[in-house]
Amino acid sequence: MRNVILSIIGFLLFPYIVHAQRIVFTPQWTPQSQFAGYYVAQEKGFYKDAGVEVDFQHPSASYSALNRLMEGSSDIITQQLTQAIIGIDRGIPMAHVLQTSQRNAMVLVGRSDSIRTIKDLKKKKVGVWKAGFGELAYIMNAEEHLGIKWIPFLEGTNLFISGAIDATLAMSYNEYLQIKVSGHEDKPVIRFTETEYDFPEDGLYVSAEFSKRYPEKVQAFVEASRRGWEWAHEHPEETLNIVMKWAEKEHVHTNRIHQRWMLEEILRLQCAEGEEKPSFQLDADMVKRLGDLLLKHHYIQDPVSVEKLKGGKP
Amino acid sequence: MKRVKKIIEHSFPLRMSLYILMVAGSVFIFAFWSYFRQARQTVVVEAVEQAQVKLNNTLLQIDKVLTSVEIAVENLSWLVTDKLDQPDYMYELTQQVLRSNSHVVGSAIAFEPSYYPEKGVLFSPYSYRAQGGIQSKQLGTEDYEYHYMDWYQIPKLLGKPYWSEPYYDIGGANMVMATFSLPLYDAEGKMLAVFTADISLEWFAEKVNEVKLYPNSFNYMIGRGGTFLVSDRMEAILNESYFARPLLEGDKGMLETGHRMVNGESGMARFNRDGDEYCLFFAPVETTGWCVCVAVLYSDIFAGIDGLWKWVITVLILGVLLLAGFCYFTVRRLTEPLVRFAGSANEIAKGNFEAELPAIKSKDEMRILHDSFETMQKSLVDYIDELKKTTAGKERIESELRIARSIQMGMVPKIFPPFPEREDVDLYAKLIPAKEVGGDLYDFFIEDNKLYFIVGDVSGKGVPASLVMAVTCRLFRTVAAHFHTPAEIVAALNDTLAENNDSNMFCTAFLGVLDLKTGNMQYCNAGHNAPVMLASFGDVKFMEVKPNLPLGLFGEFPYEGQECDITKGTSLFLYTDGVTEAENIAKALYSDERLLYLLDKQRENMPQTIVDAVLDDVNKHADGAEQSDDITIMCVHYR
Repeated sequence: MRNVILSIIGFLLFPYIVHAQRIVFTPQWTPQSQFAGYYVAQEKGFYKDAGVEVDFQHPSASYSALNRLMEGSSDIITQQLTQAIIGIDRGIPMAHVLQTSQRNAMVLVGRSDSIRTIKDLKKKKVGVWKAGFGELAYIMNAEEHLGIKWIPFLEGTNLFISGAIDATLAMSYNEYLQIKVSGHEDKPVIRFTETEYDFPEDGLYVSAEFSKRYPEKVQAFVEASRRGWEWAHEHPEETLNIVMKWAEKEHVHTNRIHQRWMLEEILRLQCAEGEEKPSFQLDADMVKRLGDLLLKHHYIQDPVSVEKLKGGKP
Repeated sequence: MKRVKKIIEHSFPLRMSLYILMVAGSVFIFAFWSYFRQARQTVVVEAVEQAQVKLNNTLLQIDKVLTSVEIAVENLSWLVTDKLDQPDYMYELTQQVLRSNSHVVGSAIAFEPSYYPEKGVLFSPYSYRAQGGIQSKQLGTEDYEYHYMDWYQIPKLLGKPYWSEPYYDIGGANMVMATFSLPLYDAEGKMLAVFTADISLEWFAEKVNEVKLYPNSFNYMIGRGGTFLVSDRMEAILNESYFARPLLEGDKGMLETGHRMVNGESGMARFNRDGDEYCLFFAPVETTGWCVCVAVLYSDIFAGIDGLWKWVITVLILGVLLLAGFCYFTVRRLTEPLVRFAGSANEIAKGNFEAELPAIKSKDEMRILHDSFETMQKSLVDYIDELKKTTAGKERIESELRIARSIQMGMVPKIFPPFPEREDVDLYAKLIPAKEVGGDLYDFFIEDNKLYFIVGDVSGKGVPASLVMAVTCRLFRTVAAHFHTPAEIVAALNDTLAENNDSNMFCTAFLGVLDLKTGNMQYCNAGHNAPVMLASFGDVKFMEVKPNLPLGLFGEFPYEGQECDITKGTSLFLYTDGVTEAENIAKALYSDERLLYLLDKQRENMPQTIVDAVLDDVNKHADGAEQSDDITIMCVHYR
């Protein structure tokens, strides 16, 4: 009788226990090679091996990853370093746990051959994502006194193709590839990696509350994610299969060639200049330099440091 | 294979037929190849024309509809600026657009943000087709910030009407469509709104797919950025770009074609898809800058003409086989008498000169051959008769020569040793004529303890020389009996031979008389080779002789005799020039030197051994070469 009662109690408590152990993970956007390592970790059972159950929930245009984290719908998200610094400065309770990107993916693509250097952009109409990510470009515009007229766009490259703008900001792993396959493969490009604004981008951020409650789960998730990325570096073709499977599952309109190029570029950007393997480390100097720039241009109120990003005191 | 080769090699008709077959076959193949090549070119030209006509017709229809949409919007645009004070009237205007053009699935007049403060930031009256008829709603919401949409931003930035690239409109019509946008301006030239009309992409797909050139052709349409707008692969629509594949594969040809397509050119190109070769016809939708492409499987273009191939090849093979058969039997019929001629020739070869020849009725080359055979038969019979006579004559002469030889050989002493009873002298001699009979001679006899000996060589060879030799031999014996010294004997011989010598024959000779008691030797040389003296203790050397003249040339010639004393043990070696002038195949002479060398080694030996040794050496030198001159050797040993 006693056993029966314990079993019933156990059965009733089971969903709660399971829920308590599950991590809701949200990348910045729908399935694509930009997040390949996480899908690999899920598909290859690295999360399971690490003892965590992960639920992938993707954001939408109106409900971003950051919003989900703020509202508690997601526990761990990916964010660009710049947006994360600004978010944390504004009081969003989250902490940096893993740095995947080591280099900046932003590029400026000129519509005509006359745009070769940053100086050539003076007084030009330049496309920028309406959704954000433009802070570094705005800072560069101010620092270099370019007087660029920013034209926000939602997505795609039609603004650029139609000739309505002189140049556009693009991610080297996404919009730049789209421009290349739109018959503009030889357009001039200025890479942020070649400028002094070569700051790292994507990393993993965990909500402060979740981190506090399940620090070991977070650690396990981080380790498994890292394992996923390392596996992706070693098995790009299988990784691509996994990404395409997820894209199909989530009804994402894409194609294999685009995802292949994106994966190649993402993996390349995960290695610091001159390195062949990713370090997954966040460089303190880099954070300091970026923080100073953001502070100078009033994107943040207080100075920032790696410790602060990781949830410690500044 | 070898058997086939053998059969072909042994049959003239077969070989002839094969040659004709090869030539005719080559001509046929070349003719058909040329024809098909030309025909294929013509087919290509016609296919291109046909494709372009069909493509242009479709494009005209598309452009006509697109232009009608543009007109529908433009015709009502003045009302927008005219009724600006009635924002809600704009709903009516958008409905009018739909009513005026059945292709339009939606229409909006999207105002600049906060244009009507009372309507909020975003105000965009919008009408669309729904199940219950035309419905209207306000488009701009927090989730649908239309002023960031391509159809709004691009015409605004460009400052001119714009056809958007097809897009999936979430929040609007919820379908894939393209939007025509006409920017509207106020009196100051400031843009106040964008007037739009949407057209469904499905309609374009239907139009584009109406172009069906060949069973395996497929069509697609790409946007200004290469994106597939219409394609037989559904997954490619709005997801893939034409340029991705050529970029991935580094196909510069396809890349260049792509650039031509997005640049609004029309034309034709070739490309490969999954191993098949395609011909691509493309032309632009002038209104929007999109490009409609029709890909035709290359083999489809030639399906008709290539179908003919099988028929032509069958006819070709049958024709060539017929020709080969005809050739074979014709040539065999024409050449059949040759086989019979061969049979007759074989009969003739066996000796049957009367063998029957094949009957030839024609008057062609076979008749000539027949006549030639007949003439040959007659000539052969005559010739054989002649030959028989000649052979009989020759045999008679040969028989006579054999007799003459035995007579001639009988004239020289042939029993050796000639003087077995004498211990003071040994002698051996040999005469080998080059022909049946020869002109060389030797002879010897002993009288009063004196050895008379002669070695001679008549000029010329054969029967004439043998006669002179016979005379000289007889004379030597006769004359020697009447004279004492060799010079006298030689002079007498000369005088006799010179008499009535009309044929100018002459004879060289060496005549010696050796006193066997004293060892004194008198001798006379008449133009002959100097004999070799083999002293038992001393040199082997040619004797010193006076040349004098050969016998028989001039009578009364004063021959000078000589004399010397020889010691016991000395041998005297006499010979004719047949020895020293014996030739080998390379025409090299035996030579005096070689003779001396050999004799030097033989000096100790008896005459027969020396003579045999010299003959052996001469034969060795000749090495099978035919003997050209008579050879005579005599060796006298004084002991």
